Amino acid sequence: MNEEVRIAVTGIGAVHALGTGVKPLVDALRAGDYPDVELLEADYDPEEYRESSKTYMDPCSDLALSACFLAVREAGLVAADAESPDFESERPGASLGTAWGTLETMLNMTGRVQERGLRFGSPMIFTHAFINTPAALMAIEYELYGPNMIHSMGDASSVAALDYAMTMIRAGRTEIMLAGGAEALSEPLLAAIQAQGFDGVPAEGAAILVLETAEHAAARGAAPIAELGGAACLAPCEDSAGERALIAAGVECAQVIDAATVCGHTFGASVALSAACCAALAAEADEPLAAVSADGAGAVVIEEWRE
Amino acid sequence: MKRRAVITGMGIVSSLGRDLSGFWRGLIENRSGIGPIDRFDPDGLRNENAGQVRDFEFTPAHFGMRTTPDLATCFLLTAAREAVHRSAIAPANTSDPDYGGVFATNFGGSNSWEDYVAGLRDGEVSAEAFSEASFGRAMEHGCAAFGIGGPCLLLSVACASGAAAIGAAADMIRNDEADVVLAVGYDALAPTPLSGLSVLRTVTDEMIRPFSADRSGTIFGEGAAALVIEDLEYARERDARPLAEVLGWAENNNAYHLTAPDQGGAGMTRVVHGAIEDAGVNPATIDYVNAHGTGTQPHDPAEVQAVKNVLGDRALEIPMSSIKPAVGHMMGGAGAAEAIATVMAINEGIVPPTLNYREPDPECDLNHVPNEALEADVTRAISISAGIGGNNSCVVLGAVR
Repeated sequence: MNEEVRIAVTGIGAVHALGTGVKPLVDALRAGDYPDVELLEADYDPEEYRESSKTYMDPCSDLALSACFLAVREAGLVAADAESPDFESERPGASLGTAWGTLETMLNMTGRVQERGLRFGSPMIFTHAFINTPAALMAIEYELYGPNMIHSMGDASSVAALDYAMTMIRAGRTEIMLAGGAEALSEPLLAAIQAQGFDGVPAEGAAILVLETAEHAAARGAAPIAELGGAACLAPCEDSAGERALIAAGVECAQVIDAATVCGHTFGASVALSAACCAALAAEADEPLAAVSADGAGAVVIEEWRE
Repeated sequence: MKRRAVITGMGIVSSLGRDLSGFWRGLIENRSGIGPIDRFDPDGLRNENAGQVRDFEFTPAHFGMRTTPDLATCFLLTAAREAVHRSAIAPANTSDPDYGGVFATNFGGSNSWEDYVAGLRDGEVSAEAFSEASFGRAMEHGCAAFGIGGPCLLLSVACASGAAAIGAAADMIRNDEADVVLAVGYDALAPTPLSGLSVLRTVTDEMIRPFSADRSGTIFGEGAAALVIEDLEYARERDARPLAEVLGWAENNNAYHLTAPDQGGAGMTRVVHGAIEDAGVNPATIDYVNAHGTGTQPHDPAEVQAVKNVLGDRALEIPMSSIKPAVGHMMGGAGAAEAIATVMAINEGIVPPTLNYREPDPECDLNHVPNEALEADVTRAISISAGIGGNNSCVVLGAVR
């Protein structure tokens, strides 16, 4: 791995309770607007954020693809009037974090099997129930032939996704990755997390960052928004790993940005949404910004891009 | 100097054997662990046989636990315990920041999920069943049981997961993020996944016969396979015997279709090429290919083509076998179990066979080691995996020099 490889954030896509794009999140963070409702559904129409028509989509897959749609456009990888993406690298990749993934579709599948018998599972529903389906659909939609990974480790899921993307790029396995997180809510999920004693504001959402080497960005004339300075994802420990994660991610102090304060707690997508805010705010910040997972096991550091 | 990732301990729970020696003996004695499913009623499946783990006992106290976790997690912990024991790594009493973990699964806590959903239908919400069904839970149990306090991942790329876990663990070593990493692939048989895989018609209604012209589908299995992977210098300092080196790896996606193979095995060709490129070895020095070899009509020829595309004429000279007829397709555990079989082939000079083989297929015309184990000098080998979603992974393993 070459740690000299600088990684630019060249596009941000986000869907969340406040709408779409990172701007509503950043505006709310600046204004200190905190949600006062119990449940925050993503407020958008997925039909408007698809490259191709779909017969069936799990809500988590929809959220992931919608965030990709916005991110690749901001990064200039897809012109507004183009039919297909224009990646110049041969092996772009995808790395997505989600705590519960396609749970709603899996519930549908298991319900059929338990009620009607093993013969009555649906092939289409089952195909969309795999936890790696959202990342696979990202690959199909955007011709991402490179590394493709799903990370599912609770609140740290999208730290792992961003860390993995960074490792893949620095190891020279790809020059560009779409990386972030997605989490969809459903009634059985809410019932379960309430039974587990979760007392925050549960919400759904997704955020995708376009990450690429400085050279790759320069070659295609893309302007970096921020730099992904470091990421670390550690084993969950009794003593919070947060500080160790920040050090492992390369800084000793950083200003922590938490998007959950404005758009609710999105579990496996929470760090990705916070990282999206960090990237949008990096140019005006005086110090490195960080997104830290609620369990303290992982951290992502994002800094202002300097030539 | 570049850090090298070596394997120093391996452990496995499978239908063929509940430990490494039972698994390997079964493989080279040309036996299969596939048999009738009896943990739940298999009525309605295309095939009522699978590679079910039998006579398995789990003692929570061995892992510092008070209650028994999900069955898949029990497999994970048991295989990992054997791997850690065989590597002679001193168990950490506290979380060790130089000790990492990579856990890989297709369906996570699939039996706890069945319990959770059954409970919902009766109006009960079981927080415990839901926790055990959550993918991240197995990682928490694994880290706590083995004192893992360093870099950690729980990843899922369907049936390509196990091989990817080994690669990601090797990257942690090579990148100096940890000295020792435990890599585990695991999954358990459960009604919902088996129903889905059955209605997708990936499952045969008779026997699994990879590369045989009369093949008609795969048979699934369960279990876990664990490898202790560490920095070569670290292993030497503690006088551990390296069993093999993880020379390189790659994972990718066909970016074509969720279930159908792509044209001419293009994605698999890229992943094998990528792994060999990462290893920096000449394709002509590969001595053995441990195939994904599911036994479905479209998959096997695509995999053979991919191997030919990358290895060229060398593909015609070396064995390429599938252990799936012996243990069943272990889903998230498959790639890790197959890597273990490959490491054993390197150490023992014996290549495990492809069981149930009957008729040559012009599209699968390599030496598929039909029905009987083969003595062969294996210094370097590759193990290939692929999964639903179009995900592929490949590891390059070699004797330690």
